[in-house]
Amino acid sequence: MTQTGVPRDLPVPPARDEVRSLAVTLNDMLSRLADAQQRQRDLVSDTAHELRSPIASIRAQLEVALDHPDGLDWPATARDVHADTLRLARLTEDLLLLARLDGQHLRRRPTDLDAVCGSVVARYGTARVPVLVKAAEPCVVAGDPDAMSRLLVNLLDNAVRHAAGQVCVSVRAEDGWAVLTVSDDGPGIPAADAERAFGRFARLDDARNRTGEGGSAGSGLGPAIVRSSAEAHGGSVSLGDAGPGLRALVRLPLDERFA
Amino acid sequence: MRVLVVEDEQRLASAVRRGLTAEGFAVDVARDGVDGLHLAREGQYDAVVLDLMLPGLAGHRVHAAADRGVAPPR
Repeated sequence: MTQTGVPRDLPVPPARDEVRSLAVTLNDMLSRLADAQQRQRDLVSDTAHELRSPIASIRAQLEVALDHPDGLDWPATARDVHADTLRLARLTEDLLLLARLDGQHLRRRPTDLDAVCGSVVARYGTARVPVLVKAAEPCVVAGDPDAMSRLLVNLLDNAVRHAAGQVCVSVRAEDGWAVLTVSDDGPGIPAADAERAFGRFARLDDARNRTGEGGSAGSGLGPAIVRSSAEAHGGSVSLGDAGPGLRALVRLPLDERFA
Repeated sequence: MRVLVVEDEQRLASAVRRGLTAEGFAVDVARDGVDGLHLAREGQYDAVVLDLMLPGLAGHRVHAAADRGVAPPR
């Protein structure tokens, strides 16, 4: 490994012995380390860009306000600066949560997913479309309650942002798994983009881009947080067609002691 | 003097428009690369303030296409 941290391949001897086997194994490890480093560099670069946009916006608004104070709509300027500040706060919170999930620093304990669902959905009483709980069976998972809440909030924020008329949520137990479903009736995404949507700061070039109505953009990290959170709990997440709309399906292992 | 601002961040675009207008410029704003290229080709602007990361058509493509006189995609 070089001083810059870039792993280099080891020469693989032709003889089929344990030295060759060791070299192949080490090369595989070095390759995975290189991939992880590249992902880290990409994340830092993308994060810098995402931070730069609201900072540039705040700076421009304040500089224009200070240079041309006469006749300025100060409350409107304050509202815009506040909105950009909230965006920065959301981004930093999401980055910290992702770092926590990557480091597996979860505080797992028996957690009622249906109760989490109930308390999170209650916060959406004034959302731009109704959020309906279609089913909520008792499902106890060995989960970090904060991470579970955040997972659901990210799914609901995204669904509410793009829904045409309503968002539906359900929690049910199925063969040792808790299955959480969030569906909206918005434009959905093409099946080919379903996997890419979970990338950090993924930009899908379609009707369902990152900015929703009213400019209520997310941090760009929501889907990545959902996936990291589900996987850190031994589960998975997938996207599918809700016909019309998008259906996010999260599967988490039930806590056997309470199943 | 006429200026075109091509910027997808709504609040940033509004602030830049306010500042330039206060300085005496006539300002138009486009929210993505395709609209920006349309306006740049048709609007007879003296200057264009162009963001690089734009939805639809990236800023450097808008710049290159406008330079070559390429028509924007429909």
